[in-house]
Parts: sequence; structure tokens; C-alpha cells
Amino acid sequence: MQFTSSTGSASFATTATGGTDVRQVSVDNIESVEVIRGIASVENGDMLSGAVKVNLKKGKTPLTAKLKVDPEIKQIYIGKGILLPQGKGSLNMDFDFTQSLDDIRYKYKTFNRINGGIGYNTVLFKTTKPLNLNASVRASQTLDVNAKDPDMRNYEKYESKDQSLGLILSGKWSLNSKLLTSLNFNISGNLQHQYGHEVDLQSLNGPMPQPISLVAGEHVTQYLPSIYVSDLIVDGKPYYLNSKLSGTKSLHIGSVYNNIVFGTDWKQLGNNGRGRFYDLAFPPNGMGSTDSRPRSYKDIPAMKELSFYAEENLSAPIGSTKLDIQAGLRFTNIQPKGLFRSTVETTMLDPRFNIKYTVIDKKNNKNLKSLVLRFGWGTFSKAPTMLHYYPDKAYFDKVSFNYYDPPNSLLVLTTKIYEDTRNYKLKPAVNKKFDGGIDFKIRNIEVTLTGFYEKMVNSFSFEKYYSTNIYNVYESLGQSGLNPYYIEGNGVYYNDLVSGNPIKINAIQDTLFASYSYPGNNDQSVKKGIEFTVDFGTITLLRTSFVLDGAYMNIRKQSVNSYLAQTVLTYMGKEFPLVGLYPGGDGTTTERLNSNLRTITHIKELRTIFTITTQIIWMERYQNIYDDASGNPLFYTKTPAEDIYADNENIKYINAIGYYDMNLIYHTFDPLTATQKPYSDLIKSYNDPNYFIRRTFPPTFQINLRLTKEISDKVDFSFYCNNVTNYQPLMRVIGLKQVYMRRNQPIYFGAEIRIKI
Amino acid sequence: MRKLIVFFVIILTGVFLISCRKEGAKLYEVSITVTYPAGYSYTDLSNIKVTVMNNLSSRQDTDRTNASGISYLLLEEGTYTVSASFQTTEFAFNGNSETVSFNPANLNLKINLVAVALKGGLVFKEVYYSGSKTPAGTNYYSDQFHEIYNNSDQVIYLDGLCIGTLEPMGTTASAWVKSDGTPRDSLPITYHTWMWPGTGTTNPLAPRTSVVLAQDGIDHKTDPAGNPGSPVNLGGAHWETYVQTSGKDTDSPGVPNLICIYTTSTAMFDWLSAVGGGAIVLFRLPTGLDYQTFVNNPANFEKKPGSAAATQYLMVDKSWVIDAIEEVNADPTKQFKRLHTSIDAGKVSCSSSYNSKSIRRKADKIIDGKVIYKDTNNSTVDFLGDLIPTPFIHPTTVDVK
Repeated sequence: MQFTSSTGSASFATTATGGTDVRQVSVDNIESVEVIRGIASVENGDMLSGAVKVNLKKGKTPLTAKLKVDPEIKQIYIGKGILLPQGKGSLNMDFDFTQSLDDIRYKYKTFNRINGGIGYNTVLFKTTKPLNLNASVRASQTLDVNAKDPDMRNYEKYESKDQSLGLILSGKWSLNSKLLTSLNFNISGNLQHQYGHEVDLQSLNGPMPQPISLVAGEHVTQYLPSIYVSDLIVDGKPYYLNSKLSGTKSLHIGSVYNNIVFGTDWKQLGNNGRGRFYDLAFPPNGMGSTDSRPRSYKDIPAMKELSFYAEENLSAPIGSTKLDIQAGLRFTNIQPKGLFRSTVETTMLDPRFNIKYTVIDKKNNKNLKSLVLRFGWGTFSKAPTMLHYYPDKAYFDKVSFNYYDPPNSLLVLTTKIYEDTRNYKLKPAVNKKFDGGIDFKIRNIEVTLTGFYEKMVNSFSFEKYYSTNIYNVYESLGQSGLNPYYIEGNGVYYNDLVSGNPIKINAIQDTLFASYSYPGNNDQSVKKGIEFTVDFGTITLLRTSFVLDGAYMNIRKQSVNSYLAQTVLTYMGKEFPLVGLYPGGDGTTTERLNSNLRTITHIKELRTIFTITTQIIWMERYQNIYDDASGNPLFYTKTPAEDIYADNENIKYINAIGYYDMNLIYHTFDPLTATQKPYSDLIKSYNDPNYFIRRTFPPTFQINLRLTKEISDKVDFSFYCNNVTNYQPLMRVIGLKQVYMRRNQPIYFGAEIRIKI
Repeated sequence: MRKLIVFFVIILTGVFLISCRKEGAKLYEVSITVTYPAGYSYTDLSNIKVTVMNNLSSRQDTDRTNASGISYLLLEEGTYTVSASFQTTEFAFNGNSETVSFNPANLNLKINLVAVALKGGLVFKEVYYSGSKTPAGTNYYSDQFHEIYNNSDQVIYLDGLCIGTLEPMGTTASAWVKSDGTPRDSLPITYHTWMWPGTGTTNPLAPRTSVVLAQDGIDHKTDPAGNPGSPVNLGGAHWETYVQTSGKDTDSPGVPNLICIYTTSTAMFDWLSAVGGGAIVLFRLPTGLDYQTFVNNPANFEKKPGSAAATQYLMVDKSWVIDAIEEVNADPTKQFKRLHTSIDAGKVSCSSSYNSKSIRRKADKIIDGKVIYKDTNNSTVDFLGDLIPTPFIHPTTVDVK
């Protein structure tokens, strides 16, 4: 979506980018959650770093009711799984009602939702070629969000509705034939309707122009009434379709076990909603400083994605050791034209490779019970979203003639429209990851140690496009009662009061820069670090198990190429007349070292499990940077400083490389001649002398608690509390003078009671 | 015998000469009474210098009045020019009567002194910034105005006069302070800085008269785009602040516009003063009418201390300030000084915003029907708040101190 500046209301607008809404999965229906990290298999695509896979419950489960409470949510859940007779499979049903309170003082901001689903699981052809089949339907709806703020007037409204329907059909067919060991398929679809309606009283201060033209050029327009009612509707109907088909073949070649996977994915998402619309005569933000028009979501083309992938997993015993290799390739085609060509020229090729060498895996070795070496590398590409490809037009309205003399006023606006604000050179963001590690087990202590390095290039950023808007400004008439009129294509006239002859009003041409933001690929980030986990096992005497994990991470984000910007927006009484070109290289570096110690105490006699997690952040650092590609700082101070990054006294400056003037001619910037405005304003200055100083945050810790107790065979109770001691210290930020920061989140807790009926 | 006749002739000539010697003209006692102008409450009339000049002989006599303001002089009959003068720290008093004829029938003269203010210049007479409420209960602030008065007895030209409101506009403490917390010597103007147009003598402001500067020069009460709940009709305003860049301001055709010499925002739709009270200053640039040189010099701008924002504010040195008002919020915990004590040692407020009330300078004296407003550079003492706005109109009675 292009941005001119922030658009007005409808904060409850649609998620037109689509995708599955995780809010619709009832947490209580989850069987297991798989977190995909590291170098993921090629079966997972269109992600940059990792993914979370949620597996829902299947099979027979007792009738369970759950009540959950925390400061913002109250939820009641009922679920049951039944086994159908004669081995016809199982049926899992669940239903929940959630009430979410943003702020209990404002009842009208409550959000209520009902959610329910039915899943059917069965195994067909059990004796010959078993086919595991699963079909499920899920629906959810928000209720009663017809917010009636008691302070609103009777006709004012603020309502929103959200409903969705999802269907999944998946299966795994164990063919065990010569060609295929198994065939897997997964077809899922999701339809949503998000509707927002806002009726508001607009009260303007003074007569304002009504921007309505959908055609560029000079037009007569009206003044908006000083008081009117605006009616804004945001209607979105996003849909999402995903179908996957894959086959696996397992075979032994000698002692090497191979599992070959190959498959294809098809994704489609779009929006059939009417979009954001209102009567142009009564816009919802008459006083706003942006010029926007309604937009239909239906007119945005749907996004289609076709992928193919193939992967080989092999496991080869080498003497007493074992070598596992996973190597795969994934090809993704966005808006495909045929199989390999893309209409938007976006195709992504992701190779992924993992190797694991299990040196020791013997259980009869007393001390070193296992030793595994791991290494992997892979490419992860992420395509731009639908609104990146199909942004809205950009509108600019400027007043050419403004003669307010009711009832004979005349208002002439010049409208400039950028019809196509799309960046045709937009590429996918690509993340290259390397990781390597060691896992070993000494006696009962398991240790995993991983080092990782990721470099993401062509990260999405927002760039500004500048062009000039040249429009006529007609002279102000000094007296009222002149009754001017506009002749299309000609100009503004008025009739001389004495002779009656038409007099043409002089016009001068004014030029100013009109800009809009568009998505670009100008950011890059490098992430590196080490993670470790130490599982000390259970100390039987204390009935407690201890797990220690932690990480050191260093992230450096920077812009890459030079970019256009106006650091100052005004010159004298008007808009700034130049656009500067600034070098790329501004960004941030963040470093963190933290560790968590989790102690899980299981007291069987009390039927209680008690978990205490102590999170310690040992070191956290943050710094703004502005370096060139070799790491040299691009900013300077007027009095030279020895270490410019450590200097906290002088103001920092960055010169533009060059600039464009109002004729769109490029000039190189010479700082020596830029002593007067507006040229002196091409030097960007950071008013805060501490801007580039590295900030270090002193260590802090937080204790989280979780308690689960089985009250009886049928009832259990859970309670959790994050930041039990509500430790929110005010700590001095090292590096700055007298700046303090409050650490940690405030205390947060909730409870849950589960009853098996 | 001949010798005797010559002797007699000489004696007689001498006698004749002696007897033809002129005698002095008859002198009369003339009383000249000096009075102060109507409205001046000072009662001491003694020691005022009175000068009398004979129109024929140009001979001058001076005297000082006694405690009753009367001066007695011995003068010949004739036509005279009489003048009296007196000076206090505030005023210079002068009285003049030309071609006064003193003769035995007319030996008394009354001279009325006219007062001329020694200092005094342009001051803010009234500011209406609170705004008003519409009948629907929404807020309306387009009816704000500032009225500027010539508090002296000379013509002052408005050409090149500048007006602006200081940063911060709201109820936060100012960041523009010295290390001891007191306001700095240079003042930051936020949003638009306006200047009166002219070549130097185009826009005179006669003594003891005012001009009204309106945000929108329309009749706010009756205009279809106005507010029936507004207390003012500014259709007759002398000047208007029209913001061309925002595209959302009206240009009333009958009201001339000021020049915007600098703005910190092109999107702000009109020149809005803080409805809760801002600090406003009236000043002249050291470069006079040439604002381009001033505005092109980066040394005249500064960014807000402690802020990373790129906004540059036009800085006005306190020595350029002609008049200023520290308008504040009615809540004492939300009142923060933005102006240096030497420019305005006090504060003035209205009880709330959008209450359709204005602040006005107190009328200190009314001399010859013309108002002299109180200006001690202290708005606590100089101003009254919560008044019904009276643009264009000056009080007819003195405000109680």
C-alpha cells in the first residue's frame, strides 16, 4: 500500500494481506506445537527464519471443560473427542467463547468471540494401503462489537464484525509401492469477512476544500460544510487457499537409508471485499492533511504462488558412527505464467543443506553418552505481499484559487494523481543462514551448543519517490462581491463591475515536490550468535529437574543504497525546494547475552508441578550507526573528535551526496558553498550529541512462576505469573548522562481450571 | 549778544531733547493659568514653565507657575505667543496659544496642556484565543484574533512588524531554558512567523488607534461555514493570516493578508494560537523589511534542545521584542514561563478553553477621550482575563487598578 501520510480512521480495518489467522485456533485443542528453527526442510517455504506448526488433537478425548482467566481475557472452552463405532474413525469437537477486555473502564471496547470446530479422522484401507484421512471445519465470529460509547451521540456508530470459515482436508496414504512409499496431501481454505463501520460527526474549523476529483487536472470544487456526518465502511473479504501434494520414497541402498521427498504447493490469496469507501462529499477526515480516495479491495489482483521442491534425507552408518544428510531445493514462482515464468518476475530458489554426524550414541559408555556434530546452511526467501505488488494510487490536491465570499465563492483545486505507484523492481528478501553445533551428553547432563550466522539481503524497507507538482496559483482578489467564475481549460475570470467586460485573473506557476512512499529492498541485516542448552536432568532427592539455556546474539541492521530524503520540510513560508540524496549505511546494532534457568519440581504426593523460570539478561547493548560499506563512520563533527562514536559533546552532521532542484536536475553537493538556506539544510544534523553513543543496559532479572495441581482425577488447576516479584527497576543507561530506563514488563498472571466430565 | 542767543538755543534744544525722551509703555499684570488635560489625575500644577513672547518686538519673558498653576507677568499691551511646558517621566506636556492679545480689557489667559507620551509604542490591546463552542458542542477556534494598538502619540508604521507564537504551545515546561531554569534570551517561534507587508511607510497606524489581525476575517456568527456560537464578527478585520500551503485555509477577499516569512510546518492549516494560552510576541527583525536575508541565514535558526526532531525554529532575540504576553492555562500546575522576566514578568489566563472569552489590557488613563493602556511588561498586572471580546472597540472608562 503506498503511503502519503497516515490515513484516517478504520483502525479495525481488514487484514487484506491474508494468511491464516492464528487467533482462530483454540489453544486448548492443540495436541502439539512444533517450532521449526535452524535450517528447515524445503517443505517449508516463504518464510525468513522459522515457523510454528500446530497439530490439533485427534482421537478419543474425554469431555473437557476449561475456564481461563487473565487480566485481559476470560475464556470458556468445551471439547470432546469420540470414537465412532465399527472403527469408522473419530470425531473431535470443540467450542469456545472468549471475552477480551481492552480496558474495563470502557465497556464498549470489549471484544467477544465464539469459535468452534469439528474434525473427523479416519484410517481407510487399513489392511492394504492405509490412508489416514482428516477433514475439519472451523468457524468463528465476533459478537456484539456494536460499540456504543455512552458519550457518543445517537447517530454515531463504531461497529465491527469479523467472521471466518475454514476447511482442511488432509491425508497421508501409505502406498508402499515401488514408486512411492507414501503420498501426502493437504488442502486448506479459509474465508473471512471483516466489516467495519464508523459514523462520525465531523466539525470543521473554517471552510475547507472537498477533494473529490478522481481525474488529474484543475477543477472547480466545493467547500465542505462546517458540520456534517461521515459514514465510512471498511469491508474486507480475504480468502486463502493452500494445497500441497507430496510424495515420499524410502529405500535402502546398501546400509544407507534414503528418504526422498518431492512435492508441489499452490497458494492463492486475495480479497473480494468492497474495500474502504465513503461518500466523497462527506469524507471521514476533512481536516486531515492527506488527500485520499476510497479504494476497492476487489480490484486488487489475487496473489498466486506455485512451488516445487525435492529433498533427499539419507542416514548412513559409518562404523559405529552415523551420518545424516538432508539436502533439498525449493523453487517458488510468484504470479506464475506457466510453470517457471512469473508475470511479476519474482521467482525464488532456495537450496537447503543439513549434515549431522553422530559420533557416539552408545548407552553403555558411562561418561560420554552421546556426541553429535551438526552443520547446515540454507537460503530462505520471502516474497513481497499483495499490497506491495498492487499499491493504491497517490493523490495530491492543491488549491489554485480560493475566493470565499458566500454565496458566490469559487474554489479551484488542482489534482495530481500518480496512477501507478508500484515498484516494479521489488525483489524478494533473501536470508542466507549458516549454523553449526555440538550436542553431547555427559553422564546425565545433556548439552547442545549452536553457533549461527545469518545475512539477510534485500530486506523490505520504505523508500520515497519524489516528483514535482506544478500547478497554477491565481492572484488573490482584494475585494468581495466580484463573483468570479472558472472556464475549463482557460482560467479564472470575473466581470468588471463597471463595464461588465471579463477580466482574466493572472496566475503564476508554483512548483513543489510531491512524494509518496513505496516498498523497496534497501535494508540488510546480519545476525550472529551462540545458543546453548544444558539439561541437568532430574535430581531425585529434590524431585526437581533443571534446565539452563541462554544465548548471545549480535544483530546489525543497515540500509544499503543511497536514498532520497528531505531532512527539513520547510523553507521560508513554503515547502522545501530541494531533495537530497543521502548515503546508505544508517542502522542499528543490538547485542544481548541472556540465560534462563528453569526448575521443574514434580511432587507426586501433592499432585503438583511447580515451575520456576529465572530469566537473566546479563548484557544488553544498543547503538545507532551510520557507516559506509567498509565500516567507516559517515558522519562528522565540526570540531574533530578522536573517536567519533564515543563523542557525546558535539552535534553530528552528515552531508548529502547531491540534490535535485525543482527542475529535477541533479547537482553534486559542495558543503563549502552551502552556507545559506536552503542549501545549508542539505546537511543533515543530529541534534542530540548522544545519538551515536552505545547504550549499555545493566543486568536485570525476572522470575516467572507456573503451578499446576491436580485437584482430583477429573479436575486440575493451573496458575501462572510472569514477573512474580513485579521487579521493574529504574536503571541508569550506561553511556548517556542521567538517562534512566524502566526494565521488565509489569506483573501478569492468569489461572485456568480444567474439568473432565 | 550773539553768544547769548547760541547759549539759549543750546539750552532749549537740550530742554526739548530732554522733554522728548520717551517714557516706558504702561505695564499690566497678566495672569496665565495652566491646566492639565481632561483625564490626567496629577494635581501638582506648580513650577510649570511659562514663556511669553511679544509678537512685535520678539521680547521673551519666562516665569514659573505657583501652586495653583497661575503665573503672573508684567507685560505691555500687545499681541503675544504664550507657551507652557512641563515634563514627567511618562509625558511631555505642552500648551500653546498664538496671537493672544493682552489689553486692559483682557488680562487673563488659560492654557490647556496637551500630553504626549514619552515612551509607549505598539502593544497588544486584546487577544481572543480561547475559541468557542458550536451549538452541537464541538470546538471551534477559527475566530481567534489579536488586536494591536498604537499606545503612543506618534504614527507608527506597521511595515515589517512581525508576530509569532512561542514553542512550546501547550502545557509542558519549556526546553528552551538556561541552566538555572529561567527562559533564555532567544525565543523560538513555532509554526508560522508573520510579517506586515509594505515598503516602509505603506501601512501607518495613527496614534491611539488599533488594527485587528484575524485568523479568518469572516463574520463568524453569521457565515455558513462559521459558528453561530462565536462571539465575534471579524468581517471588518484589518489583516488576516492566510496560509496558502495547507490548502485548507480561506482567503477572505476584503481582508489583506500578512506575509508568512517562515513556517515550521506547511501542513498546519491556519495560524492557530494555543487555545489554552500561548506566549505571543510582537517584534521587528534586525534586518528590517528584508526578511529574505534573515530567513536565509542558518544562524538564525535552532532545533529544540534535547530533541532528535529536525524542526528548525526561527529565533528572536529578546531585545527585538516590542510587546509580549505570557498567556497560560488556568490550572496553576500547568503554567510554565516561556518569556524572560524583562519582557513579561507575569501571566494571564482565561478560566477555560473554548469559553468565548478574551484577555484585554487595562485602560490606564483616558486623556482627551483617547485610551492609554497600561504597559509595565507584566501581564499579571497589565491584563484582565475572561472578558467578552470587544474587537475594534476601546473602553470609555478606566479599569480599576
